[in-house]
Amino acid sequence: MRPLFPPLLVRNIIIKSRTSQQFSRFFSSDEISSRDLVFKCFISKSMDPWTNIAFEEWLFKDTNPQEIILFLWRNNSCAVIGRNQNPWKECNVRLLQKHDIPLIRRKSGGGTVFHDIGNTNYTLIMPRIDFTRKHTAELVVRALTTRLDIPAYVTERHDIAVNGLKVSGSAFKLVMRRAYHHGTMLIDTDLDRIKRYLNVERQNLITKGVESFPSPVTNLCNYSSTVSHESFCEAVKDYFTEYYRDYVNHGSNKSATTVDEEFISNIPKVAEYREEFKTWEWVYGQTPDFTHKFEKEFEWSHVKALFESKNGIITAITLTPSNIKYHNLINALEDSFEGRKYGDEKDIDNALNDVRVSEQLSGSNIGGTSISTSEMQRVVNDIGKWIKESS
Amino acid sequence: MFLRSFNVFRVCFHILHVLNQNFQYFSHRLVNNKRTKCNSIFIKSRSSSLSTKLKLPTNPYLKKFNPTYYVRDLHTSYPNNAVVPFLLADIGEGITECEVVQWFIQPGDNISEFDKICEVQSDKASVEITSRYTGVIKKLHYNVGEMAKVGNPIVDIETDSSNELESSLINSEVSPPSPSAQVQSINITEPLISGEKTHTLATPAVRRVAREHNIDISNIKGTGKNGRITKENILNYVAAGKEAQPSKESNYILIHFYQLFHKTIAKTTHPHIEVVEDKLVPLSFIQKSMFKTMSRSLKIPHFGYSDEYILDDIIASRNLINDYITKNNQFSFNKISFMPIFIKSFSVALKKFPILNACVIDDDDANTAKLKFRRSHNIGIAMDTPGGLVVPNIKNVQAKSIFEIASDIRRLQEAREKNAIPPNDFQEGTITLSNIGNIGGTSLSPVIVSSEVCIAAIGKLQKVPRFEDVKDEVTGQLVEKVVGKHVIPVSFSADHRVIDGATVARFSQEWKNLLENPILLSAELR
Repeated sequence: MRPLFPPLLVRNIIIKSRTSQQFSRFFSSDEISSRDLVFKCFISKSMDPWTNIAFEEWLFKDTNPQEIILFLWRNNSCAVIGRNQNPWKECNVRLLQKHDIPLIRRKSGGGTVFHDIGNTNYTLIMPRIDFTRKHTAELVVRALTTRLDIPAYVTERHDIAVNGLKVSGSAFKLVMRRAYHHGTMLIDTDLDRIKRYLNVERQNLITKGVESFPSPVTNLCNYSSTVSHESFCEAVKDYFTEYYRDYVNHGSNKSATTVDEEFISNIPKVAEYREEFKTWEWVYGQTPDFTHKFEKEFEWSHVKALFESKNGIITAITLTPSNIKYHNLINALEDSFEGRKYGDEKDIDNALNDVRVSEQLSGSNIGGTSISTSEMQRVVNDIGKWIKESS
Repeated sequence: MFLRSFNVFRVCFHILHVLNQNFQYFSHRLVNNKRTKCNSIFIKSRSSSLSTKLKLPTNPYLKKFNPTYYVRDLHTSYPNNAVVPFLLADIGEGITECEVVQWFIQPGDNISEFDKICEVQSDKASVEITSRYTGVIKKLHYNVGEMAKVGNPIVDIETDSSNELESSLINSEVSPPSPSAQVQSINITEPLISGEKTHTLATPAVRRVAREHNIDISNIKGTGKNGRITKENILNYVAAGKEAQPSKESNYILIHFYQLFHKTIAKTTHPHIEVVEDKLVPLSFIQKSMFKTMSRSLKIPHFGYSDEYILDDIIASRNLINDYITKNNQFSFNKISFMPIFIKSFSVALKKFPILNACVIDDDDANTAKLKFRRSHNIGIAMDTPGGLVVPNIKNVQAKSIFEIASDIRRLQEAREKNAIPPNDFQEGTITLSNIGNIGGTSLSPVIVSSEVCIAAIGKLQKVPRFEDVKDEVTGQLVEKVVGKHVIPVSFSADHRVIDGATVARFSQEWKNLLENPILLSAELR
């Protein structure tokens, strides 16, 4: 019995709907003639976040679009932001760096999440025409309700909740022939850590891009004593295999392929994607444009700062001291900061050093008004420290 | 009069048989056994006006709608090397705008169909937009970070016109050819067949506005770039007082079957010039798809079974139902046709023969083939839309009443007026029932949909003489007399790999029983 009638069971008559122009273009004549869908399931043994997300990317991009793929995975502690989000707005980048927790930008949209081994991720990759936002969430909910006895339901934002509290968030990516829906599932996560790393009060950081929609969360383990990563994966895998039983290749022995390091090392593309996900250009360089304002009262002056950034690089910075005595020094600092990477400690240090060096060369007399070297050092250090804290 | 209409129906049939325009697939081929003179007329007169050959009445109103083979199916095609605005298509979920995250191309780049253009982001979904056209990028309408509105152009692409015919056909969901649009189609094509060149530069949106206002776009002077006609030009033209336009009222003068005739001619005629010599024409996109779908149905070995049902009692029942409907205003329709009754009784009979509602899977080899019995009766019905024949289905007929089925049909009819039948209605059909009776036909040979195993087709209801034993009033004895009976021919086709003739024959008898004795339908009520 199939309680759902999703577009997934498209028959061989494929009628082009006039209401959706894009639908009509997604079929070449060959695709129309055969909808030979195959369902496959992969479960990852690796807990390296970069590896898992690279493998997911490989499954999405480099396998046959006629395959419907379920991928279950979990990561060690990491923070994951959406494709078009601002990491400095969404999470405490400083703290993450301090605690050596990786920050990952995924390719699908949506908000920021914190993963740890108490959180299991599921991804369903399907042909584009079959994609609806509700579909995967509904199936997971049914897996939870029927096999794990957890009273979950799909919210209107296409998240999964239990008892009014969110347990799963999701995000989507659509390309021409394929789409995927992936989501988290909080089984036994440390909720305090989520709060700690993702709690950022930055009213003065105004950014383009997508903002997260924070909701109160809970763990599945509060509602079931038998739920765990293994039982969740088992339940979801079984339910999906049953649902897609028409497309399961009955010839193969196992119902799910276990993916470990060895399996992945045989796929060179995955290593390529993994490197791409790690680069600064992807994680920070894809940040949408933003401005950040902050101010501080120093002993020597009250300074206001305004940062403008594009692609993670500081394109403009305005420091406005109330005391014009340091005006020229501040100008030098501004020039030095321009073009540096935002929030990058090394770059900030480099900028400061450049100013110090140029100061010494010009004899601490930039623009005429005399400032003693120690004063200059103090100003530069103070500003450096302040910018590092605030950005 | 009868002869004329008869000829008209024959030609209609043949046209429907040969040509199916537009991007709706139907795996349905209805062949009229009585193909005689019709063929030769059709072939001989291919290059000349139909109206003269078939001697249509010289109704003065009809002169305006003189259907010729020059009638082109309504679509918007561009003059050579036009700059086409590529609109941001609906990405679903009711999203009206989304942020442009990344461009993959720049102005001046060459782009082909299906190349990536940009990536847009809505709240949770990241979508890659691919190009519909081949050409050169002229202009990007948004910068990274700006919000792009769905339905507005995101890039301008300069294309060459050879691609346009195909893509505009594919995209011609713009054209809901209303009766008034038939006239429009003739007007628009006239510049093309006449010797002069009247390049009317206008974007498809503008052409649509012109169509809606019943204006010949070539009459308007454009004030846009390069003499382009803009929406303002059209609205000004309309406001400034219309010239003699073909008024809508004259359409209503058309008698029903002439309207049908024109519809079929106008919509299903291949849009092209007269054939003066042998010509090799590749199949259009839609024809190719139909070719493939039909070829798939080829591997099903069909067998046919025909019967005729006597519908006098059903006619009486239907009249009663219609009286009931007019008395109670609770329904969305004023009366029902025979279809809801046919469909419901079909489903009731189907309960006893579930194999006819099944589907064959893994049918490459007899050892792996399986029959999937399906619980719900999603009965497909053939519908003639302005764009061609489509087969949406009504879900779960086994659980619906006749009234509910009638309102479903009504909903589908309303949707097809707007050419907006949702895709869900085309999916998961389990068996098909086609009624070609309003056009004609007696012995039919429908083609089974490749995901089903059976199809039934109903022909034209006719009153014919039959023998019956009637009680003679004078003698009180049973005497054989000739009485008029309303008879409808029904033909089945079934998949002989899994279904045998006896099953279909018995099913037909069961259905016949239910239709000839409507009281049995109520006996099957649960």
